[in-house]
Amino acid sequence: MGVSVAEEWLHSCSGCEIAILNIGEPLIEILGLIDFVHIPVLMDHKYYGQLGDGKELEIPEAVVGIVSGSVANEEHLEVLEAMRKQCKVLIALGTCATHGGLPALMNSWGMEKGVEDTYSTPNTDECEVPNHMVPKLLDRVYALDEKVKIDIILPGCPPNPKLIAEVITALVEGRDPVLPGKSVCDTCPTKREGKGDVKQVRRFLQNAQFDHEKPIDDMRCLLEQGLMCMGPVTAAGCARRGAPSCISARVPCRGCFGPVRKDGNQMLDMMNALASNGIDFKSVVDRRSLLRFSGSHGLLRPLPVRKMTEEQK
Amino acid sequence: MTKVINIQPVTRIEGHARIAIHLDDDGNVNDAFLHIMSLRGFEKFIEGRPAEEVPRIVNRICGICPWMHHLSSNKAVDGCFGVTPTPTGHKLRELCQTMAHINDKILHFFSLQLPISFSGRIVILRFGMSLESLKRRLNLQPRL
Repeated sequence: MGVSVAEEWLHSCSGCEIAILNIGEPLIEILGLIDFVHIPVLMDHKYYGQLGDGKELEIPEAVVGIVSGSVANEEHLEVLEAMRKQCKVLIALGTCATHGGLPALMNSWGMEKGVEDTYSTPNTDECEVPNHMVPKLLDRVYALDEKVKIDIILPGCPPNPKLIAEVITALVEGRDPVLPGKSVCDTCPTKREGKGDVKQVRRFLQNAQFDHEKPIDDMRCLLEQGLMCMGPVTAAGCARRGAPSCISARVPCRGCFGPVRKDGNQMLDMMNALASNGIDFKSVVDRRSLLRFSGSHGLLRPLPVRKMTEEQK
Repeated sequence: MTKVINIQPVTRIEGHARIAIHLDDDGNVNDAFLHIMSLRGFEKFIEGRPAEEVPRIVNRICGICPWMHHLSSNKAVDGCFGVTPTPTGHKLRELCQTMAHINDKILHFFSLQLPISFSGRIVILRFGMSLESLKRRLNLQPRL
């Protein structure tokens, strides 16, 4: 009997659970050390008894709890609180859990307005937002640590399977896990010439310039090529074959590992990075999308409605 | 009072669903619901994003089949810009789609469906595994 592990998903896409499977061969060894007692995406274990006749939410007791996804409705909150109660160590897995992730883009409108608009697009029939026997929505999308105490954060969209394996084995062995604390740029092998001749960033409508027969370390830094690459303000950890994942596909980083410091603000930091390199930050077409992976913790908020004076009208 | 059979969550899919079967006093099915418990609202929050960024947002709709969302949104963006991919590009996309299909089937059969049908636990199966080892892995104590 190994260390018991319970896993739960909230406002997420189940990519984090697939990342657990993507540990691959080492997972066979890991499954000898741990025992999954609850993991809805990969194993059939229900909340209200296997026959559906239970009355109370049942999450088995476990030493390690892993939660992916953010908190957006009352059911998520209930499950998260149950996980905190039943598990000794709670890991937030994936950027949704640690910083809000993509679903937190909804915070730019607020949950209620956003969902209402989703149900009344110009090309759908008129209908009401469902409210019969579905959980009540919270006012916005929260990261897990805004609601309960989280012991380890492991961001990534999807998280790096190697790091998941490292955290699990470290916990089983009773040591602190070794996680990267650097930025994507610190782990990026592209050439930086630092000439600073770029004055504006451009939209990613044309490919970066590179020789496809030469390795990544022969390509010029994408930001120096004028592409909006979020490497400077994004936590490292995505590298699987040497270079950061997106860079190795020769596309700019989009910031999916969240800010480098836990409480960083990717949008402000990126604007700073651009301005200090002499790049006009006004050339960024959609500033709020720099927070697309870290909109929780109150960073993305509905824009105030601008009141127009009589003259402006 | 009517009895409700509450199958929650529906496991091994993406999409947080719940099935509620309402029984009457005689134990016959009175009504049945499939509830989708959460809505992320991709339809809403791609509003205002640059079109070329959308393929890298909507592939997070589903972690089990991200490729399909990525490729179909690529098609949509092509339509917006009024461009046709080059023959090589088109073949590349077809290749991606085919690889995604293969991956999907292997994932579903070996990782999600088969192990649970036999043992109720997570079992890792590999190609080229001996029959003995396969039996040993699958014949673990059932959970139910």
